[in-house]
Amino acid sequence: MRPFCVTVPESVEEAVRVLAKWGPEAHVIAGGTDLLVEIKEDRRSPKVLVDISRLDELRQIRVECGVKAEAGAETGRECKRTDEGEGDVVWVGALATHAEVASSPVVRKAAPLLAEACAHVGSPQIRGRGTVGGNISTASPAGDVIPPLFALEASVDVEGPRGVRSVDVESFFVGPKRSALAPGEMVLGVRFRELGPNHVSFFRKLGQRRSLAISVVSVAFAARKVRPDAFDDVRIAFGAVAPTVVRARTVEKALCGKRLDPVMARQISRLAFRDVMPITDIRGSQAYRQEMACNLLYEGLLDLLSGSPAAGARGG
Amino acid sequence: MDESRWVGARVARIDAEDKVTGRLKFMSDLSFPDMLWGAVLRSAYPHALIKKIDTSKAEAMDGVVAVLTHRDVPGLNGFGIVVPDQPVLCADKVRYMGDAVALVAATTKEGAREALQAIDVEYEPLPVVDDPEEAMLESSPRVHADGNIHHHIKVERGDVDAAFRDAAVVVENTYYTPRQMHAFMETESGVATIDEDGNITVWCGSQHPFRDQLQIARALGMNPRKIQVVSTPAGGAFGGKDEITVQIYLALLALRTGRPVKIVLSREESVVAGMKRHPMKIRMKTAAAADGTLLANEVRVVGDTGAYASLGGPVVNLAIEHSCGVYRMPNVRLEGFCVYTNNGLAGAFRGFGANQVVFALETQIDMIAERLGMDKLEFRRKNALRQGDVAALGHTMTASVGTIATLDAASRCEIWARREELKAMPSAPHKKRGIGIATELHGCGLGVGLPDYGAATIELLPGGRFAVGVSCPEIGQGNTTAFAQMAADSLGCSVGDIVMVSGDSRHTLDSGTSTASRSVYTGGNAIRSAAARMREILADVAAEALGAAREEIAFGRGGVEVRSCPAGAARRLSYREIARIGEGKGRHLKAEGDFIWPVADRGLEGYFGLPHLIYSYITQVALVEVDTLTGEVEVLRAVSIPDPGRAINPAGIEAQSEGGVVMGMGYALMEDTVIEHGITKTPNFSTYIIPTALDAPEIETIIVEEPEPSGPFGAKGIGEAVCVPITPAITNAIHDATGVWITHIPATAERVYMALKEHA
Ligand SMILES: Cc1cc2nc3c(=O)[nH]c(=O)nc-3n(C[C@H](O)[C@H](O)[C@H](O)COP(=O)(O)OP(=O)(O)OC[C@H]3O[C@@H](n4cnc5c(N)ncnc54)[C@H](O)[C@@H]3O)c2cc1C
Repeated sequence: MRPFCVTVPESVEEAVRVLAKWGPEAHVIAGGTDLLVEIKEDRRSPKVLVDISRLDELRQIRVECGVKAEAGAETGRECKRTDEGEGDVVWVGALATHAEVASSPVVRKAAPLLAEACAHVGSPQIRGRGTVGGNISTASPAGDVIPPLFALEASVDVEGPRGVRSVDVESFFVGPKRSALAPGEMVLGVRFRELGPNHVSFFRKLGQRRSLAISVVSVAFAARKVRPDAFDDVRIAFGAVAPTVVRARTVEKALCGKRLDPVMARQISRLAFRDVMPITDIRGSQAYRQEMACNLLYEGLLDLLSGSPAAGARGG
Repeated sequence: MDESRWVGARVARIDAEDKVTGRLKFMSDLSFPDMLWGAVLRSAYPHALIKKIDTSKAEAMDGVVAVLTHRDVPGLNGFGIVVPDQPVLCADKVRYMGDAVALVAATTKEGAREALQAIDVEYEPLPVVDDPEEAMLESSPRVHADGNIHHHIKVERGDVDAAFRDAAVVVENTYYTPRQMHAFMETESGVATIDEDGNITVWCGSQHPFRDQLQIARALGMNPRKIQVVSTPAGGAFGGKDEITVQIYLALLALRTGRPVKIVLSREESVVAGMKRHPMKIRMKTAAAADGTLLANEVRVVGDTGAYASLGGPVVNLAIEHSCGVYRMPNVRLEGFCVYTNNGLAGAFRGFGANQVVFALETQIDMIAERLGMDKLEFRRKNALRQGDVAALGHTMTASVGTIATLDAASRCEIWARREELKAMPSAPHKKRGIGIATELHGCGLGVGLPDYGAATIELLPGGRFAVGVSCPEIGQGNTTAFAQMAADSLGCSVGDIVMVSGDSRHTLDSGTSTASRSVYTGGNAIRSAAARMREILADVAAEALGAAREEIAFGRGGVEVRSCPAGAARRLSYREIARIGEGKGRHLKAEGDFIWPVADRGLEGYFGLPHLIYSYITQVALVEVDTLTGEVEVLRAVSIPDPGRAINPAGIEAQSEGGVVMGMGYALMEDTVIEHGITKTPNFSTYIIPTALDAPEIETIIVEEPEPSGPFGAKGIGEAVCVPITPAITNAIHDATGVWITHIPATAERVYMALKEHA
């Protein structure tokens, strides 16, 4: 581990300025739960850490208006829902911790699958420090916050020397641990449209134990229930089974409008084979991961069909 | 005396307050003025010849005070509890990635690390020996010049072939067990200090300070009396600090620099360099008659001891001893090999060879019971050894035998008694529940042929409290609390009046290791011996002061009184008063006691440590739920039924039992140090998976007491047994739930899932 300096900017503009000045020598530090491990293991040796913990505006979780708001815009205005599918937009700041997201009434209502995912990151200590921005910036294919954001078709607000831009979440991840962040850019937060009143969702993860478990496979699911046994607007994403989190478009298409019983649910879940391309590593083999993608989805669908409320992941 | 006021009570641990307030220090938190940081250069290859070591660049670095290689080891360049085949610092060859090649002492931790990188070592890589079975072939490259089979044991009794011929049921399987890690909280770490006369003190987690002292002395070529070893109750050990870890490095660096030196291994360094549980491949063939009588067991064990012997030989010996478990087994052919490879290092670990074979045996037992359509508990009861029976190795079970009592308690425990009902209520349709049972006996002490002894000191301190010294270190298991309870009852005072001194080679007498389920039994007996002498001394002083006959003196309530005196009369002296009287007379009120272990009626020629005379007994039951879609196994409930002879402290037994269940569960379901081609693939807790609090089941401990007459207050050891049968109880429960037999642990979700798929 090499010595480094820490700067504590008071504004996003200042943070971006420092990042731009130092280029690849500077790293943002939020909760530090990923970065400090990498520094300790000499996988990264930054000269400057930009500690963004004072940027309170990035800690907010808030409801924005029915129309997609401008990236980075401050909104305190009353929001009113327009109609189904045109619901409110929720903004989760990069510095919101997993614990805050998991217990946020806004997120639990608008996107229960995201709250569920955050509730199952690491352990209480990790959830108290680790942030949404850190999770997506690390860009691990096993990052638990990412599949729900895919299923929510979220976008990532980014600010850099050339100003603010919004990147759709699928384009944000370019490879394992590689994101679309340009030098000098940082994540401000994520935004997504809330799920409608007829939408259901779940997040499930399979780890090697019940707490402090990196996902061997994870799945996020959101869809509109059109009958007790049929869905449309299906959006499914898998974690840890491809170089980045991936949407399962084959399965989505097959599920749309189909009337499901357990046998049909099982058959369609097996199509997930087509959407994933896992590798073998110390946590699981390729073959197992592939089957688990199917089975986690199937387990979740079974719960939805049986109306069980416990459609989430285990542990915590 | 000896009425039990404290023995049998749920006394709070005497070290609890120091632990929760943080007053008790980890050895890695100790600091001394002018202290240097030490670091160890480890091998760059799992197997290689060393061609050249050049330390000149490192020596020239700022802040570097010393760089040591094999040339700087003044005494024997080797250590090892049985044979010193592990170099302190490698001279011409490295045999695993953890081998030490050089030491550095520098003024900062970072400086020491950087200096390591500046040491130039030229290697010539050799082919890696990583499969124990292949290592046994003559054609295999040799890890050590004498060949790769470090130890071989063979025991045969009865007519095994005839028994197999006549048997109604024969089951034969091959079992594989993982390289479990002790995963103690504090890595191998410590500090050495040196005074102006050259006396060295090594502060380091240790399970036998006196043996460490000798091993350090041998390597330093120094009088052992000039070396003091102090262990710590923080940090944990589980067998992983039985062998020398960093003690010799610390002492060498302190000797060279004349300054205090601290070494703290990183977790990654600890995982690569440290001890593990022997992975074993076990072939077991077991036979029974149609009425369920066990007839024969044929066992072949190959244990991977890694690069050096340490306690590998004895571990394989104990595997053989425990391979027929609690059962009457008239015909046996048992064979064990302890084999060198380049796969890390294996040695002592809680259970000491039993965990592996008991997993295999208890699976075999369930298979046979199932084939015969017999109840699994009844089958065990039918075949269990009773006192007076001849055990598999041919010795008579003369000491107390608790199997039946623990099985009886198991038959009444809720999850066994209501098993069908509990199985019928899984939490989801695709989940299946099962209940498993397993039992074992566990040898206490070192066994025949290894002198096993204990010693204790008791001193009356000026304020009226007693200092009780037993060297067996407190390493978290709570033995000092048990010692204090036994001392209090032996002296007629309260636990609060006892000041325990332990784990310090200067201030205690050698009482052996804190291993082998031996410290409470050994220390307790030594304390009783010392207390008897102490009471004589106290009686002398009191009788003279009170003008009474010695026989009239009775002990209790923190002092003595004259027996014939009516209660309330002034003929009573508190220990504080006796201390004052002793002081006035210039009498040092101190007594020593000792104890030699009894041993079995016959030994096994050539195999040290076999068999044992005294065993502890335990039955464990597990309720599991298997997710058939993922293979995940959740242990919902566990019942642990140990027979500790006498529970000196029931709360202490429960703590051991609960910790043991979780450790044995990790062994069953998750834990394995994966080494491929000599390289560790699971170097920290991100990839080496141990159970967390959320994985732990609800654990009920039912203590069954079959007092051991030779034990202090009837006690015997329990520290190891508690982590053993739970493993096959869980895998048997997986079978009960799904029909799949687990022969390869850990039964990870992936393994269970793949087995289910194959089974379907
Ligand atoms: C014991 C343990 C268990 C864990 N378990 C899980 C788990 O179950 N699931 C899971 O998904 N993760 C897990 N993690 C990983 C980690 O905790 C999470 O990814 C967490 O969300 C990271 O957030 P952080 O704020 O700590 O990030 P940091 O470590 O501060 O930063 C991570 C990376 O993101 C960059 N970064 C941070 N914030 C920003 C920003 N606003 N803009 C641009 N770049 C930024 C940093 O430069 C760094 O490269 C675990 C980690 C540990 C140590």
